[in-house]
Amino acid sequence: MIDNLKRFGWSNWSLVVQLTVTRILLIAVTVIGITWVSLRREQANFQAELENQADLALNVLEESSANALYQLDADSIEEIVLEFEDTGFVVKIYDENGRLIAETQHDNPLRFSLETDAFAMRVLQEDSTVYDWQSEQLVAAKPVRIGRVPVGVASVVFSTAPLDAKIADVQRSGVEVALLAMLLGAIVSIVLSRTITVPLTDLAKATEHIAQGNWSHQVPVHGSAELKKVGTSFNAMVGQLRQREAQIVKTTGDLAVEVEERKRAEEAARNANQLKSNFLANMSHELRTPLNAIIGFSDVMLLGMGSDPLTSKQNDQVTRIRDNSSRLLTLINDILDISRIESGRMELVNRPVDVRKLVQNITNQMQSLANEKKLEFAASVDDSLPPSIVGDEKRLEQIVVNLLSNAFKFTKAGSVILKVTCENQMWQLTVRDTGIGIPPHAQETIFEPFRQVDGSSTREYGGVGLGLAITHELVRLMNGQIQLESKRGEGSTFTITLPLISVEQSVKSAG
Amino acid sequence: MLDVNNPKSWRVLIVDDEADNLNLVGIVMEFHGAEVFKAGDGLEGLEKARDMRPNLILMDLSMPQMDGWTFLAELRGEDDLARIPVIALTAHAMDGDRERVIDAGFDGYISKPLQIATLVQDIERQLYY
Repeated sequence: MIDNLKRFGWSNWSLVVQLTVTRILLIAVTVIGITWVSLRREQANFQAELENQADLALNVLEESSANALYQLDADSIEEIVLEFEDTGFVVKIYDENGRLIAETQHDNPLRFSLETDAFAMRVLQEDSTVYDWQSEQLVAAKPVRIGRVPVGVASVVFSTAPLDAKIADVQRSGVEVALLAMLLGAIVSIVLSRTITVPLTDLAKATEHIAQGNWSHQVPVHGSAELKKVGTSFNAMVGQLRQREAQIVKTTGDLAVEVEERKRAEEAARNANQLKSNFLANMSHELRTPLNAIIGFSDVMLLGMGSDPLTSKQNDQVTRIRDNSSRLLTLINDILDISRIESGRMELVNRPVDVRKLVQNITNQMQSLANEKKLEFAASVDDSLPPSIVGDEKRLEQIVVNLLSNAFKFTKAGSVILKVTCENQMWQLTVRDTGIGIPPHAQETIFEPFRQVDGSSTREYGGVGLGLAITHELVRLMNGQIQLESKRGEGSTFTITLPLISVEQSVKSAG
Repeated sequence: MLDVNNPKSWRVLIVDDEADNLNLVGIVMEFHGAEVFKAGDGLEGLEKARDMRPNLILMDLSMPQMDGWTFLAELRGEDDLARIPVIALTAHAMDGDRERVIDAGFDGYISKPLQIATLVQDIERQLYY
C-alpha cells in the first residue's frame, strides 16, 4: 500500500492535495457505506410490505376459493378470479394436485391444465405460505384448506417494478448526497488545509529570507495553536541567530584587528632581525679589519719579514699577541655563525668534495696540537667511501675541526681518533677521545648554544660553548644526525651521520 | 712577464682603502722580492695601472670612490690592461662571496684575515686555478 503510494509520487504532492484527497476518500467511503446500509433496509421494508400485501390477497383468495375448490365449481372459481382482474396483480389457482385451474389476465381465466406445476407442488409439500422472489416479480402462494385437508393452492404474482423504482430513487438520492458531501468535504478540507499550509509556506519563505541573510524578516504568527507556537519559536530562534551573527561579525572584526597587529609585530620582528643581522655582519667586518692587521703584523714580525729580527723574548710576546688575536677571531666567527643560523640565513654551498684530501688537510692542521699535548692522533677514511661526494667543504671542515678541537681541549692523556666510514647510503664521521667525558645530565644540553658542562670548565678549558651548537646546527642543515656517547673520566665519542650524495646522483638530480 | 713561481718577477699593484692592510700586503710582497705599487681606491688604482703596467693586481672590494667591481670592469675595458690577472682580497667571507667574485671575472679570491705565512702560495694557487 505504502509502496504503491510512493510509486504514485504521493509524497511529492502538496500538503493541501494530500489532506483533501484523504478527506474526500473518507467521506466517500462513509456516504457509500451509509447509503448501502439504508438501501438494504429500504429494500427489506419494501419486500416485507409486498409480502404483507401478498398475504392479504392470499387470505382473501383462500377464503373465497376454498369451497369452490372443494366442490370443483369452475364457475365460482372463474368468478373469483375475475374479481381480481383489476387489482394490478396476477392471481392463480391450482387444484390439490398442483394443476393450474385458473389465472387472471385472460378473457377466459379457466385453464384446467393437465400438467403439475412444480411451484404449486412445493407449496403443497411445505404446507405453508411460500414467497419466491424473482428478478421482476414476487410469486407468493399458500395451500387452500378445508379444515386440515388441502383442496388446492392460491397464488398471487406481484410485479416488483414499483419497488425497483423506489430503490433506484433511494440510490439516486444517496449518490447525490454522497457527491454533495464530497464537494463540501473538499471545500472544507481545502480551507482547513490552508490554515496549515499558509503558515507553513510563510515559514518556508522566511527560511529562504534568512538563508539569504535577511535577518530582519519575521514570520507572521497565525494558524492553529501549534502553528502559532512554531511561528513564535521560529521568530525567537531568528532573534537569537541574529544576535549570534552580530557576535560573530564582531569577533571576526576583532580577529582581523588582532591578525593585523600580529602581522605588524612580525614585520617589526623581521625588521629587527634584519637590523640585527646587518649589525652583526658590519660588526664582524669592522672587528676583522683591525684583527687582520694585528694578526698580519704579528705574523710579519714572527716570520722575520720586518726589518729587524726579534729577540726570543719579543718572539714569545708577539706569539702571545698572535695566539690571542686568533682566538678572538675564532670567537667572532662563531658568533657570526650562530647568529646567522638563528636568523635562518645560514646557507650551504654544496659542491663535490674529496673527503680524503679534506681529512688530510685537517690532520695536518691539528697535528701540532696533538704534538703539543703529547696525544696519540690518528685519522682514517674507509675504502668504501667514494673519491668524491657532494657537500659543503668549508662547513664539513668546520664541523670536524670543532669536534677535534674539543677532543684535544678536554683530553689530557691518551688518544684522539678521527674515522670516516660509509654504509647504506650514509656516511659517518666519528671523533673519539679518552678525555674527561661528559656527565649524563649535560649530554642533553651540550648542543645548545652558550653551554659548557659547568662554569668552572670555562675557566679551565676556555671557550664559550658555541662550537657544538654550531656543529649541531650545521649537521641538521645537512639533514644529518649527531650522536654522543660518553662516560665521565673515560672519554667521549661523537658520531655524525650524513646522507651520502654521490657526484653522479647530484648531476642527475640537477639535470 | 709574470713568472707565477718567481715572486721576484711580480710587479704587484695593491689596491686597498685601509692603509694598514696596504702596508701589510706590501711588506709581505716586498719580502718575497716583488715590486710593489699601492693605491687607496679604484680610481687611483686605474691611474697606477696605466702608469706602472703591473703584471698582478691584488684588489680589495669595498672601497670609496671606485670599488673593486667597477675597477675590474674599467680595467677589462682597456686593451693594454685587460689581460692583467686580478685577485680579490676581501673581508667579506660570507657564503657565496667566492662564487660572485669568480663569476664577475676576477682571477682569484682570497679571504681576509690573510694567512701571512702562506700568502704567496695562496696567490700562486689562485693563478694556477
